[in-house]
Amino acid sequence: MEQILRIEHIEKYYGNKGNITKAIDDISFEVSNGEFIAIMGASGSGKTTLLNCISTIDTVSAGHIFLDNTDITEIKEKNLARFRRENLGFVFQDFNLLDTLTIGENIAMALTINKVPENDIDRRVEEMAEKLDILSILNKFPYQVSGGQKQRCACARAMINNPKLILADEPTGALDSHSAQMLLTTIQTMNQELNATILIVTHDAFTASYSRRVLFLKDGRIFTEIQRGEQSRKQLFGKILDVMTLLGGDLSDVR
Amino acid sequence: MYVKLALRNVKRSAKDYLIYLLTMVLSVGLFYGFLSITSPFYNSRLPIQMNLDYFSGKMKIIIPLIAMLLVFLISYVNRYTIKRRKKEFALQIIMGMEQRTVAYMFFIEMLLMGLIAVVMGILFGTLLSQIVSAIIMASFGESYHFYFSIFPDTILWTLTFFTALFIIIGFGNVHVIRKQKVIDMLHDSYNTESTVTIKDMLFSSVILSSALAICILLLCFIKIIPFWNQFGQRAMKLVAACTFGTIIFLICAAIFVVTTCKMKREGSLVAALLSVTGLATGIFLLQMQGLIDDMLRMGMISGGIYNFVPPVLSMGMVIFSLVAFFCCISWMVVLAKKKSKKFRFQNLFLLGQIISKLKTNSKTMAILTCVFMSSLVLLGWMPTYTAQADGYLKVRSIYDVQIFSAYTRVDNINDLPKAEMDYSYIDTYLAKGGYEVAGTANVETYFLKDSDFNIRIENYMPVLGISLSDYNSLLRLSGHEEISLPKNSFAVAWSNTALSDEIRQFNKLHTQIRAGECTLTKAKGADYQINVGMGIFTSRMKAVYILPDSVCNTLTLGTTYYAANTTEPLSYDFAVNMDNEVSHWLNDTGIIPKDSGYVRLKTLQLNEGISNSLMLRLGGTYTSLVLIVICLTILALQQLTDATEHKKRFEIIGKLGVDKKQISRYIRQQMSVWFGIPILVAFCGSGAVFAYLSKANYREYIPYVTEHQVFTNILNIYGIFILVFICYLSVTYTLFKRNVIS
Repeated sequence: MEQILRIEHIEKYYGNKGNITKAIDDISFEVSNGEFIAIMGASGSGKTTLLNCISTIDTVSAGHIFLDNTDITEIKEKNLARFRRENLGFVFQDFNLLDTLTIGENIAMALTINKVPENDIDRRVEEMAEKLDILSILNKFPYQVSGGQKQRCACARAMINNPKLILADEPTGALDSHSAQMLLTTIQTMNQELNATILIVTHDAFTASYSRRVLFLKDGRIFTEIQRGEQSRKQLFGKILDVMTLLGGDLSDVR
Repeated sequence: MYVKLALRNVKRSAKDYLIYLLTMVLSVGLFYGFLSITSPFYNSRLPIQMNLDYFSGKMKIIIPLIAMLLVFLISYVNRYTIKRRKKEFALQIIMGMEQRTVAYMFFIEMLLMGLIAVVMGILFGTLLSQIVSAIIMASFGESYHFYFSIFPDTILWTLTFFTALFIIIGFGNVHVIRKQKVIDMLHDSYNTESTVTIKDMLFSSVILSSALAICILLLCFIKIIPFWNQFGQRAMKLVAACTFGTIIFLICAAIFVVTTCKMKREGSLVAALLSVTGLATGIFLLQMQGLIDDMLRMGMISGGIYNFVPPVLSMGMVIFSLVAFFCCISWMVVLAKKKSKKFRFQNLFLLGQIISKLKTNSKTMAILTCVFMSSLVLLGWMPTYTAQADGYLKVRSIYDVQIFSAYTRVDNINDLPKAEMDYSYIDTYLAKGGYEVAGTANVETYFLKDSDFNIRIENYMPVLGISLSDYNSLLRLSGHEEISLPKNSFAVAWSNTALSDEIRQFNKLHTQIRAGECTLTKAKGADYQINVGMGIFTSRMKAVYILPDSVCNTLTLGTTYYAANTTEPLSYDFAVNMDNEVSHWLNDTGIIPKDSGYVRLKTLQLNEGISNSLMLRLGGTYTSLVLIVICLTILALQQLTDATEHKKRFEIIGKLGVDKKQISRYIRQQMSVWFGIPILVAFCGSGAVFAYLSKANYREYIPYVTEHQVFTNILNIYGIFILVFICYLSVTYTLFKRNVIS
């Protein structure tokens, strides 16, 4: 399959002379188009830093990140905004919807930022909303709907521009198990039916088990990698738990 | 969509910043109201004999200058908003909006909100200008008529001024937003900076105030101490106190730097010491201003900078002392928390709230306190000061025309006028202008001995003499009964500023005087404190001897004084011309030594005097109102904008089992500390300043105002202030509670 994301020996340090924390310590991996990959690890293992670097929110200290053969570590500040809106979609743990806009407007906002003609906007928002089952709440404000609905709205917002890569940081972190399950199914559908490339960062084995491939980070390095292959989700879940025990995690960390 | 977003944001911000909006409306209203009276459209509505040119010229500069203070408020609110909205900005940027677009959208949002406030403010201002106009009319003794005060030039000026203000601050904001990194914006949730130490809070201020202290020290050692021998007892003590205070302050500052930077100690005790010594130094220096003025007058030092540099230095020290004080308060609370058993359990929550606020805001608190204090002093002392100015105006503008010469402007005794002057020029001048003279008096004052001419030291100026007939002619002109004098005796004419203790003291020492070759004794009870104008008191003495005519003929003439009343008051334009031409005639044509003559016309005196006192009253009121409103708004905003953070905290303690009643109590306590401390310090501080002012200026104001009036004025201001304060407090409390408990 066509390769979409290539990460080459990236490193990220925090702090100053004499007191350096290595958040990411030489990580390299590749993601293919249409892949659904999860990055796991304990708190402080560097997963969010990795995500921030890929999403151009943060900069790397060394190494290169290629998205569709563009080196995003070299993009100039003034071209960054354009790059983000054309190539990336984001889903955050705490939804991050604008509370002054309705659900529909929140989704439409992503289109207007991308300068989509006004006539197309409503149609595309409705199409997307229908796929994610949030059509009935389009005119409500974020504080009037449930957490699961908010996160699906966030997914719609991330998806609507057909970005090359969707980045999700603990998308189920603030949801109850039922909503989490529903959301993950949605994400899976997005991956399978819309062929979206998705990268999820999570510490939750259940969430990770929905993906096709799981990368484990420990202390800023890649510890190991599991491919789902032809296995069922349950089998993958079991394998993830095994790796987590190996990593020194406690089973009580797992839901 | 962007427009929609901006509009929605405005709507939401309007809710959040209701108090800010109200303040802006109020400030714009004040600006418009006060500025409208300087409009030519307004002047055209005035009666012809009144001329507000002088007044409006000054006010046109003063009002915008004072309004510049609003920059502080606007930028404060904007900074706060940016801080709170960082995450939202970050989100928009991550979604692909350009950082520039995000910044400009915020710019438009704030500008829109500002313009709404300006428009509403102008409407409010038209109402306010009615009140201002009523005050002006009352000052000039005219009756008030309602008028329509929407003046195009004032509206344009107001709009331009505030739009410019918003745009300048807005571009500052754009710069701030564009400079920030996305990741910082995304993850920089509001933190309470509980790890801030006293060193972090105070270090830069200590360095700055040390620089000020060094300036003070230089001033003392280079400019003042070299003249040590010429000072009185009190001045010596003051200079010594100020110098030692500054040295101790510098030592403390050095200790502070060493202990906090090298030894890594907390340094809070030293900070407390710094606060005390800083305050003392500031006050001593302020007191020394009188001495510095004297030195300037005697020519020991020269240069205009000495008029304002010492007060600025001392104000700097006082502000620093307050900053240090507020830093120390948080430290004291922490200390109390550690030591006392009473602060266990639930009080910990309240203390935590207060400490986290104090730590991050001690500088703002100090500045607010200073501003409160100065506004209170300004408002409280203004009525007394203007009453003093108005009273003096009444005394000095007693005749329509006054012309006098001052011997202090002449260096050689032989240059003084030799005999009675001929003022028929004035009478013809008046007649030419169509004014009939109702009465005149032409009087002279004399030196008791020629050597008096050379005494020029203030407080030791010689007492001059006036002949009985001259004094009587003044009495006649001012409508009083004439007096008589027993043979070989003298009387004393007192100016209205002489107090009874001064008169008693003087009389004790001067029962007999020598005038030329004669010795005269004081006639019994012959002290006349009748208002005959200030023209005979040109020698800065409050007394003049009334001597028999025969004695005066043998004395050297000191000053001349001519007063005249006309049947009708002079018109403004005529008075301006007359002032110019008569001054020229008097000083430049060799009648008296150059530049030693003065012309005083009642019309001009009244116009200028009333304008000045109006300016003081209106300008002062405007300044204090704007300042107080700004401060209270900032205090209220600080509480309200934090409501969301507080909400979380209060929810947590609610979940821990604290009931609603208790939570309300916490809110009340927290708020009373937050609002209470600055107000309390400001009240104590201004009380001290009032005590000082009423003592130091006693001799100046007491001829015109009673102590009781001064006291009531101050109490009134305190009362009004407390009222406004309670309004703000209750509004804030209600809004806050609604935010937190809902």
